[in-house]
Amino acid sequence: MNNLDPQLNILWLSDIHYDENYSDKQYHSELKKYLDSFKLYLKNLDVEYDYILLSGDIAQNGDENDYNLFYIDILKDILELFPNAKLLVIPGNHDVSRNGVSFINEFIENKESRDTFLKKHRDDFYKIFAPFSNQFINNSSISMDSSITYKEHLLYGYVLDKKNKTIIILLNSSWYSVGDIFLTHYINNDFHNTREAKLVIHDIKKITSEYGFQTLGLDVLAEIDGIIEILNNYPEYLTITTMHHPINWFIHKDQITRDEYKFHQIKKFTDLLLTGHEHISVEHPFEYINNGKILHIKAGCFMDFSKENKELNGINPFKINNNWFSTLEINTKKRTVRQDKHYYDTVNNEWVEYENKNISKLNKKNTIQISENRLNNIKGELKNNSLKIVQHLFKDDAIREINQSVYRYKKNIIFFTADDFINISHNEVKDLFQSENFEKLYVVFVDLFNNISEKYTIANDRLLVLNTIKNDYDFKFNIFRHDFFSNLTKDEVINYGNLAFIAKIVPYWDIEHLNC
Amino acid sequence: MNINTSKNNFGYDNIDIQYGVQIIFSTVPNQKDIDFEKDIEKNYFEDYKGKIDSKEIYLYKPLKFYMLGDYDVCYITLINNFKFSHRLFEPKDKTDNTVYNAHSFQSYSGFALNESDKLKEIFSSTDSTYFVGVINLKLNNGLLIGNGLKYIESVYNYLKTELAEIPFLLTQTFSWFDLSLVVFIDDPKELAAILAKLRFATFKDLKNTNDLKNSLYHSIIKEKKAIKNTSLFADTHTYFGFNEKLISIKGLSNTYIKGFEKHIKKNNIELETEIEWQVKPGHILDLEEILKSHSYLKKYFSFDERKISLGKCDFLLQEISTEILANFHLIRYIHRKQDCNLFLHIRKVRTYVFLNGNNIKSNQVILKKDVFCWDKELDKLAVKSKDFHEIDKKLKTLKISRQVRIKILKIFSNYNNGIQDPIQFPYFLDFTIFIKNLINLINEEYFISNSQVNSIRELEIVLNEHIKVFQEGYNVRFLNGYQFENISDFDLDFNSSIQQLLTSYGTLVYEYGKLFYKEKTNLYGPLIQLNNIDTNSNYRSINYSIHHLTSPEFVFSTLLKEILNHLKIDNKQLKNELEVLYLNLNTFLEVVNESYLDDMWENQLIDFDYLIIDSIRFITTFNCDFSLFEHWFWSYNFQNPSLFDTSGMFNEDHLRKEMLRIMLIKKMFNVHYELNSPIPELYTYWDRHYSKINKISEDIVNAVEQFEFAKIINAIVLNYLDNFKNSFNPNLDVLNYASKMEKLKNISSQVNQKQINKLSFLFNVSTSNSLNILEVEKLIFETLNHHFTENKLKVTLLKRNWKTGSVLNNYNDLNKDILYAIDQTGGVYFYDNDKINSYFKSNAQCLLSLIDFSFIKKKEFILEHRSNE
Repeated sequence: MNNLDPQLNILWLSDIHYDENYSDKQYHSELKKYLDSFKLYLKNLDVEYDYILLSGDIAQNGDENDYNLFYIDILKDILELFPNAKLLVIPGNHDVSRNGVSFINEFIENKESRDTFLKKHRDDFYKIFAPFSNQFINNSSISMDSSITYKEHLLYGYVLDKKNKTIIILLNSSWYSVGDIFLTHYINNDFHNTREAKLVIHDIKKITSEYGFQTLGLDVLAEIDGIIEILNNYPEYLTITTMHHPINWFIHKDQITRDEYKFHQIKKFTDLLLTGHEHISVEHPFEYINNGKILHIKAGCFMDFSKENKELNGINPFKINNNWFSTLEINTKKRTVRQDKHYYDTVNNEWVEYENKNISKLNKKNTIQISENRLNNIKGELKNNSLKIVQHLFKDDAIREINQSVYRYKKNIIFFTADDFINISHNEVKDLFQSENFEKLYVVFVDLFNNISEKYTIANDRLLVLNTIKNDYDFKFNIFRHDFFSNLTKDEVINYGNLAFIAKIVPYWDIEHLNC
Repeated sequence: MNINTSKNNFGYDNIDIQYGVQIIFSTVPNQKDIDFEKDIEKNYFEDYKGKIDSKEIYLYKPLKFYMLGDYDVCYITLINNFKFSHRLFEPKDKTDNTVYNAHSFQSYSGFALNESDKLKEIFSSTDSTYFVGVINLKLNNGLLIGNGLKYIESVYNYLKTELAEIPFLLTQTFSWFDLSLVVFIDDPKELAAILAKLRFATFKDLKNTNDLKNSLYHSIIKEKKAIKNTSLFADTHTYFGFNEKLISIKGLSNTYIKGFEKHIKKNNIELETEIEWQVKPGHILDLEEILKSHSYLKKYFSFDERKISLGKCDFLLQEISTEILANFHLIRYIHRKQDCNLFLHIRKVRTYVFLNGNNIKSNQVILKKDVFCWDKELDKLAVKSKDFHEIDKKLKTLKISRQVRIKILKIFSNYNNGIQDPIQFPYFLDFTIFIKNLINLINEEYFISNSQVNSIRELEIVLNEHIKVFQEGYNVRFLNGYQFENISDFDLDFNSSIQQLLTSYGTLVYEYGKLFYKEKTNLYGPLIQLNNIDTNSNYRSINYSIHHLTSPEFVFSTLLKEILNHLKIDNKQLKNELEVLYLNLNTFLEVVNESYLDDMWENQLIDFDYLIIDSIRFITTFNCDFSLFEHWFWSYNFQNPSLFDTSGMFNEDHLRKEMLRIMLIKKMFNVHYELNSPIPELYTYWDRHYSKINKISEDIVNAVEQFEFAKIINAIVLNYLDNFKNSFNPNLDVLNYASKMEKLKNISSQVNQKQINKLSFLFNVSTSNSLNILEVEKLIFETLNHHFTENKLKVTLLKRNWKTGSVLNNYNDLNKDILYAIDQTGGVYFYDNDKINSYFKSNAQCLLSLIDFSFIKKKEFILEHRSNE
């Protein structure tokens, strides 16, 4: 039986580190068994996922071949298993391509802040993620509801999911994950021979240090204002922020909570933060950060293979370590997150569910005030879209329009009321019965047409407002129903006495996503 | 219509009850500008008759008499709906700001035992006798208890023989006295003769004494021969009155009056009376002046001799003769004369009647050894004086406040006064277990206090609850009771006294409870109380609305719920499981993870106790028939006014709560078909909540699977079945069986088929004792089925105009096929008059079975509780 509360299901894989070297025949056949068991396990979970999240380090070396092999071996099949799921990807430090760096000399000499340098060389930075972006950018599973910036490079942006009343913020925390490239460049160009040892050490430290040096670059990317605007427009939406590195890896200003920093403004709205990178073990618990306001869940490594033994054709023999992934079931109404962890049991060689299930509460309420503008916009657009609302309500497209506000659905008549009162005469009902011979009469009310709906902009609990509206419409409807039946003559009772009258009241949040 | 498919072993053998009777005695305020009687007759009788559109001339058309004694008028009415007898007996003049002076009344109602044709004749006739005698008869409890209705039937047959020449009406009442005999006579001497006969009547005068050997007397009187000389009646209480025509007809020259006077003269009819005048202080001379100036009355009083009667200090004016015309003229003067000034000087006039007892002749002398003395027997049920002393000491030791302690002791004192009374002790038996439990409670607390410290406040709260229950129970049983028979009917719940009903339901609950509480240390036997709003029951009391007492189907449909309400007090395993469930509720809610469930829980719309109780009810009372369960579930709800809003709609939250209850049973027993809104008025709410409740009920049933509830239910049902000692499989999986039964059921099957299906392990029992609770089980099931079938398998809510509250009569035709509609203001409503009759007959048969069952079972109860002493 379907859940009553809207559920958002996410399949979350992180730190896959897919390597083109896996294509080695012997290794690949071992790997395939592992992957097949994973896919079968996924299928048997029998969950319809809304999103598939890959939170960075998809590739081992950020090479095109890594991604191609990953797509063929894994992603293609997952997307086939869940054709309705949307794909969410963000880069990790391993998704930086060695071939794309053209600004390395300039970077070494750079005296400006990392953000300023990033702003100046933004296009160059895009290039180092080109294989990553190119692999997924044309994938049809990328959500149409994604922001333009996200669709362009898949590096950062947002997805505004009105149906699930959720905003997903996607951030790139790996702009400066160029350590490998730098070292190769430094050595290839013999820079170490031309500089003093002290300076060399300083350069290496400055460029390759990751912990405490990662930046999201939000303050220099103009498009980030679009994200913040969306968050302000839909303050009651569930907000999930995801990036590869946990916050403790960031430079100071991306960690602290001051309004002048953009990331802080995103954090203020964030309910759930999903990060990867640290390859934590399956036992590692979730945490609440930012004074308990954000639920932070870290991912483990999906494909952690042993590197201990001797190399075989450049890679280690196939041996599974601590491999696990998560599925998240988010109740967007109750604001709870259930994280199910699934790990590969190397003793029994099978995927199993980790027995300690976490159900965590999110901090932000979904019943907060919303802007008058937004309400007016919805209301304005609803007025001429009654058919869509009726279709949505009755989950059926085969609805016949009798006139602008009256519809026929199977053996029922539906009156759509775009008013604070019921404007249906008894004779209208009787005439309709004569012509349509219906069994049930529905009257559909939309909350925003009720005068009480003004309270949505000032009330702290929209469910309370809806309840007042419901009581008001119920009262009016019941009087209408009662008047109709109590005024029937003895003869009319035989005709109309057994008709069923039913009221349906629709809250704005249930129909806002109808593209009205 | 044949009411029940099979006749049970209770009830009358040859008396077919078709109608009820209400008898009202009322004073009439002396206001000459306002016609109290006319107003009552219009508002109480005529308007009702018009409202229900009763075409039968004999129904709701009272016979009226002017009475001597405490009350002025008497209305005797043939009815076919007991709801009528609880209507407000108050004039309702709508035209001005009339205020009626103080008036009081007393009434009682019951079943008319006479043949239907005879009743129609009595109540249609315009030509009645000049006088009436109303004799309230308390049957001898020693003969009644154990024999039950067989005894009443035998007494009725005796009266038919003995009163062959005298028209009479016999009513089996719901009051403390069992029978009310109305005799229509033309001479007070006839009444004297009847009374003499009745007071001398003994057991051996009955024709079928051999069939009446199950009596209490037969169990407790060793010398069986002595029983034959025991009286049929324990008490008689008689009223005498004049045919209303004698008073209401204008002018003494009217031929009817002339005929009366001629009749009096010719037959030398006399009536000895004493008239007591409650004279205003200092007004006696004015009273005498008025009487002296009255052309007729002056002849009848001796003004030379007046007596002051003590007590209220009233005057007795000596009547010169025993002429009945004195009373005739006095009544006419009071009730007819516009210029009657008597009440300027008096407050009240009361006439004592003395019938001539000289004609009473009997050869019978009762030997001393044959006189049965109740004292010794009833003492065994009373609280002994040493126990009084002990209780007092223990309450003092427990430091209970003086006021609470005294009240508790008064409970025992009042109980003792009642239980030792040979007339009314059967109604005090209702308190016997209550008293024992109260003593046990005090003993336990006393014992506990030896080893631990407890709060006095907590204990006083419990004791106060007992006090409250006793007080309420005492009031509803003893208003209009034996000791207070001339006190007005001022209970707010009902007009007529209802001791018989209360005690019969008490027996039912006690006997039924025994099926479930077999190994209790505390005895189970709650008091039946009246409460219109909160019908929740507890260990000490079960509450019913007054209308339920005469609509047993509503009692039946929830009987087990009331009995099992405190199941967890006795069933430790159930108590533990529920405690664990409630303790783990947060996890439970998390697992289900639905905000709708959270909301219901936060709004206290979920009670897991119901899951257990309803499951047991479903299996036992409703024979695993979900549609039957569903029908009564909603019927009961919809006649409970407190579940509605003032708008006229059923309260949405209550509906959610009840929907969840029924959906849980649906899931528990794998009922696969979808439920529909039981009434069209609720379509909106149903549509709004059905799928949600459907989902969470499934979640709940899945989530509670980890608990032992199924096992507990199984054990309780098996324990219940064990009472019947039949061939059921002791390892039966009851829940599984019940699920299968429901699937096999054919909704449209008739009562007969259903009967076959009735818990086959239960109803195919052959038992040596046909008068046991199994018969009641059948009665309950058949009654519920009968009403369900007669209501065309659906619940119909009476349509009222919300603005005025009046019934929408335009729906009469639409609903003419159903037995009744559920009235949301309480009880049921009939769209069709024929249906009232069939409903009355059906319920009469049912109620009489319960009353019979109670009379019979009381013997066992007395012997059991007596022997425990």
